[in-house]
Order: sequence, then C-alpha cells, then structure tokens
Amino acid sequence: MTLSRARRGDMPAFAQIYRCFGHACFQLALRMLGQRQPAEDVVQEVFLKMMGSIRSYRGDAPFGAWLKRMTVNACIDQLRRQRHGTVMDAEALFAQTSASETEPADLVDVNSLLAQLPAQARAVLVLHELEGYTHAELAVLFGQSESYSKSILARALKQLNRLTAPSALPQDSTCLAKP
Amino acid sequence: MSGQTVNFRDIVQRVPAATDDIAPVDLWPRIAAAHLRRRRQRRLGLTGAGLALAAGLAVAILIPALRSPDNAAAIDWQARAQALEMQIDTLPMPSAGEGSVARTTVSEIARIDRDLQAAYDRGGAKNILVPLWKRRSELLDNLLVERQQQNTQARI
Repeated sequence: MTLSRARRGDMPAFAQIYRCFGHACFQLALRMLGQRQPAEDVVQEVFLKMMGSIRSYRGDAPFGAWLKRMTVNACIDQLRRQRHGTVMDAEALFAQTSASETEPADLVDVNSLLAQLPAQARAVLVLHELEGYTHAELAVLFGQSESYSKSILARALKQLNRLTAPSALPQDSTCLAKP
Repeated sequence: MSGQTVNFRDIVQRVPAATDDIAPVDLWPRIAAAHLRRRRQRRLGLTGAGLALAAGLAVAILIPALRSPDNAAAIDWQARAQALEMQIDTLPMPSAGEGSVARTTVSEIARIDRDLQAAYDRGGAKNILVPLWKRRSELLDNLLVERQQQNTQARI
C-alpha cells in the first residue's frame, strides 16, 4: 500500500518509508563510515535515489534489503572517494593506525571501538559480522580477492580483541553494559 | 583468545552500546526538501526542453520562409494571377470590342506568358519567375478593371 503510493510520488508515503528504514540505514552508514556527517550524506543520497528509482523496484528482494544494499554501495563509493582510488594491502592499512595507541578510556561505546579501525577494515568487519555478507560478496563489492577481505577481517578482529581485552579495559561497571 | 576464534559479537559485549547512532531529527525534512527541489528543477528542465524544442521547430519552419521570401511570394503571385484569370473569364467580352488599353494589356500579358514559358524551359530561378508572375498578376488586375468598366459603360 505504502509502496504503491510511493511509486506515484506520494511524499507522505516516502516519509513513512523513512520512518521504517531510515534509522537502520543511518546506523549502517555510521558504522561503516565512522562519522556522522558522511553517514547523513549517504542516507540523504540513498533516499533521494530511492525516491527517484522506486518505480524500478521489482520486489525481487525485501524493500529494506534493497535500501540497505543501496546504502552499502553508497558507503563504499564514499570510502573510494576518501581513498582517492588507492588500494592498500592489509599490512599497509593497519600499519597506518598502529602508530597511534588508543587509550582504553576512549572506548566509550561500539562506535568508538569501530573508529579505532582503518576505514576499509571497519567496512569489511561491519558487512561481514553484522550484515552477513560473505567473503565472495565482499570481494565483488570491494573489487578485491576473497583473501583480501579475509586478511583484513582477521586483523580487524585481532585489533579490537586486543583493545577490549579485560586487562586493557578500565574496571568500571559502565563498560560492562550490554549493547 | 586467539585471532581465529574471535567473534565480533563477543567483542561488542565488552563495551557499551552506542548511544549516538540515532539519525538527526532534521534529516528527513532535509531529504524531502532536496527531493522537492530536484523535482522542481526536473520539471523546469522539461519545460525548458519543451520550449527549446518548440522554438527550434519554429525557427526550422520560419527561417527557410524568411530566407526565401521569393518562394512564398511566387506561390502567392501565381495563385493570385490564376484567380484573376478565372474571374476575368466569367465576364462577358465587351460588345464593342476591347478598348485600346485592354488590348495593350492583353498583348503585354501574352508577352509575359512567353517570357514565363521561356524561363520555365530554361529551368529559371525563382528570382526570374517571381517578378514575371507578379507582373502578370498586375496586368490581369488591370484587365479585370478595364473589362468591368467597359461592361458597365455598355449597359449604360
């Protein structure tokens, strides 16, 4: 019903779609990009694109999954623009961030934890661990081999595990709260 | 814990959930405004394209006509001459015979007809044909007036 109204360009229908899926798209973009402003830009871009192309949505995939896929693609485009097309291997990618040591006190929540990773590693981790993408799918998305995303994922998990090891975190009850 | 067995869900259990992952309340109004702006621009673009197309068509139609007024004029003079000829044919010949003016006009028309025929035989350009048709039309005009006057005088 909402979709058919949206296909006719009905603004309240679009607003309803945003209420249903906007938060999930923003959360995904924020986790992948690590910053609010680029995440907001991506959500805006995705919804504008959706409003312009909703007539071409054939219903092959659930609507939310279609929107999330558009969000992922927009985030990867954003990351490519940030990297200016430079592709780094996993070694070089993590060497960039290892120089600055993170204080455990900086890890106030999941997002600050993800912010400790290089941008591309963060995206691989979020897509694989939270969104359920396979390495084969990640290889296509990033234009790299499967072993590339496997290597990045292993290093990202290792780094986060080290940062959140019980001995590294301050013994404060707030840090034990569940996400 | 070894790197191979680490699971991200286990890791996030160790830190608090994010509290700043809520989209700003003004994000949807911004998106809606941008959408309406784009739609307006697209409409303006379509209107502009339509106007440009109409202007292009008008130019395509008008320019040739403006560039070769002789073309339009030739058709007009030729049609006018033919219309006058038909009108003259409906008039009875003056009982007293043609006046001298009418005879001169008829003779002039005959000369124009020969010139026209010669021009067509040579594949004459419009700038040659049009003045001849124009002159023929003017002469027929004169002949019509002359015959009408002669017929009126004959009735009196």
